[in-house]
Amino acid sequence: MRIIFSILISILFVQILAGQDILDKRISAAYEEDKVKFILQDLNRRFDLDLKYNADNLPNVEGSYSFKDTRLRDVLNIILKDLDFNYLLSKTGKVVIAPKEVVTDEMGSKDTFLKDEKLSADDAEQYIIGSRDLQRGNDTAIIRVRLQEVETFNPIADAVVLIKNTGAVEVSDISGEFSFSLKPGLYTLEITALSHETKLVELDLRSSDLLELNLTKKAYLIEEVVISGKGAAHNVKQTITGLELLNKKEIRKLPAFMGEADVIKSLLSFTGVSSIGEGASGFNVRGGSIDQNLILQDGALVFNPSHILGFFSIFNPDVVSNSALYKGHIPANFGGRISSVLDVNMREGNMEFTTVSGSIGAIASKLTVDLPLAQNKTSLLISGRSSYSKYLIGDIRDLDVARSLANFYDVQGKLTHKFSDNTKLVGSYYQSKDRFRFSDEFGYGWTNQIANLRLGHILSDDLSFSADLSYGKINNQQFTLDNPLAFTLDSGIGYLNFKSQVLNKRGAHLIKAGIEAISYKTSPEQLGPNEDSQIKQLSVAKEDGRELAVYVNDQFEINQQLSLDAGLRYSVFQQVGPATVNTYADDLNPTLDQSKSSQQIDGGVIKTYQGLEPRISIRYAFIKQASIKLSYNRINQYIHLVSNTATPTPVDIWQVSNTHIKPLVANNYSFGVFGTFDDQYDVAADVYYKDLENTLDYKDFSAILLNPHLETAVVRGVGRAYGAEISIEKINSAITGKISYNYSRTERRTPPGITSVNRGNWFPSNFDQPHTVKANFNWQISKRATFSMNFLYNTGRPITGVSSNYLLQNVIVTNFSDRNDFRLPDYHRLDMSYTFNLNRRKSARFKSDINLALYNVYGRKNAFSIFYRQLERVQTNAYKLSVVGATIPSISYNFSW
Amino acid sequence: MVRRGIIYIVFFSLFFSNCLEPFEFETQAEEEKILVIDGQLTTSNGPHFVRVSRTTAFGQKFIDPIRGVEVNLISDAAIYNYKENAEGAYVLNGFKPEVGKEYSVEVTLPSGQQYISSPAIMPDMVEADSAYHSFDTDIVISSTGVEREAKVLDVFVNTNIPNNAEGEISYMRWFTEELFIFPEEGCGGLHQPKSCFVSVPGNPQNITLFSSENIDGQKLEGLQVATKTHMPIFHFKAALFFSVYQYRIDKDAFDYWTKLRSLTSQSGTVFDLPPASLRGNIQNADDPAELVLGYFELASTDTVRTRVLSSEYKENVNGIVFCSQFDRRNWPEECCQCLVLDGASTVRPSWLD
Repeated sequence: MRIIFSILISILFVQILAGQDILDKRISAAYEEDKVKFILQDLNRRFDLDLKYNADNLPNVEGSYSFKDTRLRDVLNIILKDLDFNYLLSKTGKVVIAPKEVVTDEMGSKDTFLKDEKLSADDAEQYIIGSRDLQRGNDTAIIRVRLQEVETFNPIADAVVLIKNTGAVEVSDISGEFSFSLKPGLYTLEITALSHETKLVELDLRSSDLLELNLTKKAYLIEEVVISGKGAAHNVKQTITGLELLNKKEIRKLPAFMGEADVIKSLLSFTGVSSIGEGASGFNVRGGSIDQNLILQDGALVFNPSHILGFFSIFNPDVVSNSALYKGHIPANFGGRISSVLDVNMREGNMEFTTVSGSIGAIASKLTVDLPLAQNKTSLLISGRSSYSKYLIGDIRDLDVARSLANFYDVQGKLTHKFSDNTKLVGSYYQSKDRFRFSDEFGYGWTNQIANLRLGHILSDDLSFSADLSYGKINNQQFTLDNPLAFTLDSGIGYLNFKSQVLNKRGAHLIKAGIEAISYKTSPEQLGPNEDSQIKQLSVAKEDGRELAVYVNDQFEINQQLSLDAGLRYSVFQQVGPATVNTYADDLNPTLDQSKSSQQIDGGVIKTYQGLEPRISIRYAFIKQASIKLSYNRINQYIHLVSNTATPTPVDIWQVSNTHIKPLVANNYSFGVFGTFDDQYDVAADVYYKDLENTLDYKDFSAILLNPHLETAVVRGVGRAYGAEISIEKINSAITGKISYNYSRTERRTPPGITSVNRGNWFPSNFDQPHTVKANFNWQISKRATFSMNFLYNTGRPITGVSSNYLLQNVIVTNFSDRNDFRLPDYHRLDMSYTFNLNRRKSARFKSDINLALYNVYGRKNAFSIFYRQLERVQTNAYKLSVVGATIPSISYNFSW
Repeated sequence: MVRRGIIYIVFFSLFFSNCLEPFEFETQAEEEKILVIDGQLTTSNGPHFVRVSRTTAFGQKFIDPIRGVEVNLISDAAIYNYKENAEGAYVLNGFKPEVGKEYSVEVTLPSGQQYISSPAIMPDMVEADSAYHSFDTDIVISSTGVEREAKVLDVFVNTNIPNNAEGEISYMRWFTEELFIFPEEGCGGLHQPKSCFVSVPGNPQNITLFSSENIDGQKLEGLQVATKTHMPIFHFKAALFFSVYQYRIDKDAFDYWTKLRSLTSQSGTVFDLPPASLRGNIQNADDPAELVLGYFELASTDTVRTRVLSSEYKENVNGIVFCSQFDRRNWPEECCQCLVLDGASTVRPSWLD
């Protein structure tokens, strides 16, 4: 009885084992910034797998993964998620990894290879392999098959070959070859290859031999490149123009200022993205001002992305998953800013096990902890950064500087909970504080709060839904400590934003439709005394507003050559009370001396603006390796950063549109040609033109702060920006890099009149930099060492220069030229960095690297500004201020476990 | 603001290795020199001046006077004519304007073009309460752009704010002037040592302004109006006097000086207001669009003083050198001829009595 029972148990156990395929095999491994090729190779080696893939054609992307007792199917799902590759399981237990066009979503990522029979036996080509004269024997024969294109005879790699009789599967290598060991006999092969007709072959195998097969090309649909993936020809395949992608790895590749890798500083390596100089907040895209960029962190709006006067950004590179900059075509699901969208996504916490990572840098350190709260269901990511510049400052021998303060901290968290495979809730929170104080003299600071709650639900294979509720607030403060006039000036703005979107993938269409509502609530400018100061309390109210938008956007792959991204957004903005509405004799050109009345309105809608915003981008691939793209966008912007300083400051004020300050409206046009060759080079040439209505320029010497008649300080005008961008990028090799040239102009004009700027003529804006050359270079010296170099040249930005001088009551006064009539000297800078991985073993639990960087290698004293000072009572001198006037070396240490 | 800009630069120079250096700037040659009319009418007995000039090329001399101009002060129906002096300025002597009365200046160039200032009312006087001084350490920029710490003497003023409680806004500015007494040494022969009264105007580029608009109280206390950063040799032996001239001006003048201050206090940092040509309150009678620089200011004045003893100056700032410290044979010229010093006079100011 016992024997029978044991036999039954054994049979049952064998049955269970047979039911478990290789995809259920449990994997425990960790990879840090490793290439996919290496990871698959390592999985094969360590876990005795038989993963079939063409190593040469795998994307040259890298990723960091940690698996603990994870099923192989989940491991592959994670690794291949963003790669346009699928896997399938053959009947013989082999796992084949191939492009999605070969192993489609329907076929792939499933447990077994269940491809429908599409070809009848009549379609099969018949071959005898080996000598007809030979009788089939019992010895194993090796059949080697070489696949080639019928027209060009080029080898076809990545083809999946199924021997239907046995279920065996192979993948062709870069030479288009594969081989099987089979006993002589009759076999049927089904060959599926990227962009080729599927071929059915009947073989009469008699002995070992080589078979050459020709495949015919077919028209096929190229999948839209997903946002997180970037490979050869991504620019060719993307439907939309001017999309730049950046992931954590790329951010860390670039030499960093003071050793702090930074998203926004990395963006400056892209063509068409610039800044006014070191120490200036924000960034400029294709001639737009910094407030014309919609900056999103996990979908939540960011008003001020700066730390320490713009030297660093709020985006902690350790938790950035990916970021996308839309600088050309802006799909209809984005709105409210006319120049660009920077969409930064933070990664979610690890769902399987706890990890800790961090870095120690010259100016700041950071620490990130991933906490799985419920295995594969709930995770929490917590990260924090803090500068310790106050300790460095304290060591400076200058007493005033030693008494000063310049620091920041930020903390953020992200909680992810999966209710099911189809429903996920993600909550994120960010808070930061910056403070700068010089001795006992003056200072300023700001705090940033951003929170977002996102619910995502997959309704069906074709339909998903998401809803975002976000909140943000920024508070600015300026203060002086000089009595008797020491003061504190507070201002701020907050918002509550709800956005809901439905995404429908129907055939060649990817349709997004949604609604977005934002309520802006400003804090009044509050002036108050500091300690014993005689300054009295003063409050100047700022306007509130709300913005509502509905949109629909369709990414449509019409055919292999032609695709489009078209959308329509309808936006409405309402200025709401309470507010004081000033009226003037000439409302189009309000001046203080023409002020007629001021009416206090307690609530309700005061002013409404609305507009239709059509967006379209068309791609036509005239050959596989090249495409042309056209786009047109119309965008309204209802909120403005009000600043009347030479360059924007971190404490500038946001102002919503009101009765006098009208929405900024832009029409963006662009045309580009994109190509790729040798799978290693991407080339792009893009031209664009942008016209702007209702630009805000500032009357000479206008006062912005605490001005209840702000409209009298500004003058409304028009603007235009145009340019051409050319770049060539080398990818997919140990040495990568990009060189680009950009011709860009951005100009403004105000109506002629007494308050006009430069008598109503076109004049260059503050960030007009006609010529820009950028080059970056990255060399993977070995598996452990990387060298990077970055070079930037651009024409100096416009400034208002001197034309003459005169004497007024013994004050020597410099008489200035027309606005922005001169230029600073040209800017150029070279940066280098070297990163060395301190781990000898890839699989080490504790990983660390060290980064050495040189910023401004040859110590160029690039001018940030020119100013004039009469010092010796006899002459006025011009001075050049260079914010970074020397080579800045830095070292940082990064770790994780 | 000047100070704020400078210390901002110093902060970043120490923290981020920035640098400040003289810059050779290529200026555009002006197509046409711009007319500058600059004048002041105070509640004193005068002399009151008006200067009529044209702008000069950047880096050149600052004044290019226009001679043969007719300058008149207009008040109600009365016209008072200015006389041209040797330096090409126009001076009105022996006239004391009345508070509350409206004045404007009319300028007729030799070419016949006529310019007129916007009429303004002479403001009421504000009595300054007192002036005092203290010593501190500050940051100064040399002509070569090098920042350094220096011991300095700061001058402060206490003043009254009239009618602030009733909502009347007072606008004021200050100008300082140093005066020291310099006694000659006995140089032998027929030389009779005398004392000179040497006046040194404060740095006019440091413009101190005040508006009572956002101020609580009836008195402003401890407003810094001057900083003395260095002391050339032979300045004073016994005492140094700081005269603090307080001008009460109207809102238009205050706004003009505020703009002018933003031009003279540029520091090159992100906080600078963009500079521009500064229009004043004078315009061409036939062509109001013509750019005319300068300002005709009406101001009621009051003066307070503080006395700095040489002993406290030497103790806190140092830098005083006396003739007697030199070998008699190598005395500088001013030790025997004090009138060679800039601003020297043998006339004793009446307020010293």
